[in-house]
Amino acid sequence: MALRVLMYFGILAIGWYISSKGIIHENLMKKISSIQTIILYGLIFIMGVRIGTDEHILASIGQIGIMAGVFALVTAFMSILFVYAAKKKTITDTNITGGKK
Amino acid sequence: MTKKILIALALGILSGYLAAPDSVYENTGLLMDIGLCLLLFFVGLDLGSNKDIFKNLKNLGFRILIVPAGTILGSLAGGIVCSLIFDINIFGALAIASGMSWYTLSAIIITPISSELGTIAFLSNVFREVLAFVAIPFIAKNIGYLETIAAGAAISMDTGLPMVTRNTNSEVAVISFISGVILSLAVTVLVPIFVGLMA
Repeated sequence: MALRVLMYFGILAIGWYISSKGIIHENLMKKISSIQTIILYGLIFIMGVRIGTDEHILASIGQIGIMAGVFALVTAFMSILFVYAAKKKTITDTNITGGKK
Repeated sequence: MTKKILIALALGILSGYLAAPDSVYENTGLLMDIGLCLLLFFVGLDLGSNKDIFKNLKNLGFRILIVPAGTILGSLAGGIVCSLIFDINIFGALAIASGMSWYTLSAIIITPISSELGTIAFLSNVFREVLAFVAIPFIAKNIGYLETIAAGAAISMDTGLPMVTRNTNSEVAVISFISGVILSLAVTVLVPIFVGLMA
């Protein structure tokens, strides 16, 4: 895992360095958002393919899918709730907190 | 964006189920790694073009830690709620909840103790990752930016990071990466602890 974290950090750092030095052409910088979107949808599609080809997942969905779904919903919801409550008391910068103004 | 994400995901699942041969599964891992590295590189480019990021984050200081801390506590609280709903061993439920989207690791650690809970851990963390992908645009727009990190938890440093960046801004992207690293480390500690208490 440590190697993977280092790799991700390294890639982010290379991108950051190249961009901060102004090496990337302005026109390309403007297109980055569109390129990101295309790759992102591709990534989600591949994630779907992985789920669709994984017999273990497909076989389990029928038996314990609802229980797993509830686990996913409840844990994600509670995490959102805890972060929402904690940030309200500690962070006021709306650029970071976001949400409805 | 949520609709397009659901369509891409549904098309992928259908293609995988109906059309893709078994050998495709192994190659999708490589494709995902390549796509992810490209996206992280672009996130890095975004970060580099914003000169004020680190100055703004310095002002936040240790308050950044409320995101991973809140995410962990929320996940554990969710595990307790689920143990009450389904009447299952509380430490088993906490072990499942501690997976925080890292489905491979949590399932591998839990399965030797209970194959049923291991499968629930695997599936629930897959669902949490998918749920985060689908919900992040809605959460960013209607609830808040930091909550997008809480939804995906451990994936906030890798597969979830481009989604967070796309729907929030560069400052939140940096917080997402830091939180994702902390949450991934927490998974490696919390899951074995709860599995130990369960046994």
